[in-house]
Amino acid sequence: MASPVTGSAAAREGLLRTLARRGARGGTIDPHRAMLKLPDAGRRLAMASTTALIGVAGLLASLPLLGTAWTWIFRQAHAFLGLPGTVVQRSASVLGRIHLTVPTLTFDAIPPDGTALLAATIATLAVFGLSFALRGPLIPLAYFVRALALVQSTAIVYFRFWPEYFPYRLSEYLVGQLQAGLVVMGLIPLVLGFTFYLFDLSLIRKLTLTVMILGHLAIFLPLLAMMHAYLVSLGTLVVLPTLFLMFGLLLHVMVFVAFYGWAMSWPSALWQEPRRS
Amino acid sequence: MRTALLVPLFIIVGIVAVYTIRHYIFTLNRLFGTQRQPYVDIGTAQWPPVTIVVPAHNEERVIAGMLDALLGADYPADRLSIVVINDRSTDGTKAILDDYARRFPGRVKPRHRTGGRPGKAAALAETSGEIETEVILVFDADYLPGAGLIKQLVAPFFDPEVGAVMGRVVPLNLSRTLLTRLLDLERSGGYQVDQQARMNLGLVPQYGGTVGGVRRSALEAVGGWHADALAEDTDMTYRLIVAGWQVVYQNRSECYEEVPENWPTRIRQIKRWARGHNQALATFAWPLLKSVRRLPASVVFDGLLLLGVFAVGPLLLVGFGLATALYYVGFPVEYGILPVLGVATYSTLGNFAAFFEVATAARLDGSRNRIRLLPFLMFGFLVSLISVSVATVTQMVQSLRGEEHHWEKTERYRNGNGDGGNGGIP
Repeated sequence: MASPVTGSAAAREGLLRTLARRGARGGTIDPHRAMLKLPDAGRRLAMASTTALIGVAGLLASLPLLGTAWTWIFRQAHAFLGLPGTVVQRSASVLGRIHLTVPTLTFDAIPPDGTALLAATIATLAVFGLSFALRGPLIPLAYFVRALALVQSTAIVYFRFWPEYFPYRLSEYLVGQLQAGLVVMGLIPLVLGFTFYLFDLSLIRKLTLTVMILGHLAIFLPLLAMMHAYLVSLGTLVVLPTLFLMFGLLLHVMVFVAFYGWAMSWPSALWQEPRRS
Repeated sequence: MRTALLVPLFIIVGIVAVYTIRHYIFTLNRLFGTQRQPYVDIGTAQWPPVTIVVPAHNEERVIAGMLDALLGADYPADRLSIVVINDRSTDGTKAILDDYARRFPGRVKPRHRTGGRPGKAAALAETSGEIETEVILVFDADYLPGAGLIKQLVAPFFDPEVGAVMGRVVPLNLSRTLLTRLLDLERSGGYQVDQQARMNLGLVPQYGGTVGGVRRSALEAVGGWHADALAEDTDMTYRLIVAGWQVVYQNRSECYEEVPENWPTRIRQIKRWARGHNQALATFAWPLLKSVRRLPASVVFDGLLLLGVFAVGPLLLVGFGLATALYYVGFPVEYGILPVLGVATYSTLGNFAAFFEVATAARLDGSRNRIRLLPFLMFGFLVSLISVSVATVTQMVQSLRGEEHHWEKTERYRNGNGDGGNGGIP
């Protein structure tokens, strides 16, 4: 077997690169963090694209199972929460090409009457007022609570003046939530492909993260939809806009970012252990 | 009605998409591109005389630590003088400076301002005429430079095209609160990825005014410091760029700073930055566009995006308002799934590029455990979004009324916390 010294130019290049980073006592001298970068961009991008496509293909293959699982979760949650109506299945499509059966409920929530609107107004004002008690390190939470109150106040105004124009029914909303969640699930392998798979982690870790996030969403999506249905059954349609705008897709993204942040903290095979953590 | 909502919303989504793509390009460049640090190897040279200018207003908690660090710098002592501009301090800053001037005659030169326009830009403008060295470094009073930093920041000035240089800012009080940890992540993304990628791509690295320097002849050529600039660093960056000077960033030149430890201070700081940046946007957008024949188009484009960074906040809020209104009238399904995805992405995953950038920077920094705080950045972004929007609206109203903005100083923490003035660094 040819040694790197007498072998190919690529082997010699690799040896020189290794020697350039070797210390006097045989250890490795890492470049300063200001100069660190990832090698092999082309190979990594190709691997990342392939892994992302495998993830999407895996998700597509599991769609029939997903529809069945969601229906089962809906039935369990429906019985547990004591919601009116029954769980039925509807056919739905994503991008007009991907078809699956998703569950929904037969009951439709009612628009708020005068009493419900008054209660919502008092609750919103109370929440807004209480946000001013959140001080010091809780200021970001105060901002979020005020944003919540603002969104809820738009719903109150809307249902006070134009309730007949509200374009959503609960049964369709639930289907829409599951459809949107499915789009998010489909995007996850692609987003991870170009933001996570590029890094120096084993293929097992990359696939583990993907499966964990998709698995989490597969369970979380129907449960969240049923939680929305339950809250709407209690609070009428006046709570639906806030649930959709503040606790729908945004919540899924928060979950994704949390998983991503955790996975990005996993150790790298390429760089040494952290210096500052 | 729906079309009336959709058109402006799509314009905003488009603008946000440009910034998102920019984040991805910068991060991928930082990860895989050639890291351009052309001056970092200069270790031996005929080092030129240098003046370090430190504007200071009520800095008794930090100024001694700063001066000790500068006096211990690895730079020929006879070629390094420190001018501290005591800008009407009412605490013990004057006494500390006079003591240092007595102990280090000719090296520490305090300049006590008792009148004139307040603020850093005015202080620099008033003092720059008295400085005779070709290289002028500017630090904030809470910064703690390492011994080798001065040479690193001076080295780029051997290149006659360089008008200004900027080093990397690293928070030293990061373990104080959740906010300081979040700001450490933000700073990491901003410098380790954003600034370095701009340097790699030959775009517009920003002279940040706190750990950097300017060439005196370049400063004079562009008219000196402008006393009315709310962000004298951004103002100087653009005047130099438009005049054809190079602004360079040195990622290896790290300097420690204090970041705000509580939210009210952070909100005041970001509002001040927003006002300064917006002022620069109004001042330089057109001159920059006119420079397109002299400057590379990529520089002009990146310069415009950088100028608009703080204007995106109010735009985002308008976008959220439009998206909410569209929700109530019902999204027109006949437009197809792509616009729905565009709006949904804008509202959610579109901004993920910023998380990618921050996580990458922290990973490059070897601070991987800190990346677990990533979801909390959402709250930081929310506070910034609202603060920047409030600052922008207030600024517009003040400008219409002809009112003048007053300078707000960032609170300091060192020594008040019993760490001996060096921020806990041994």
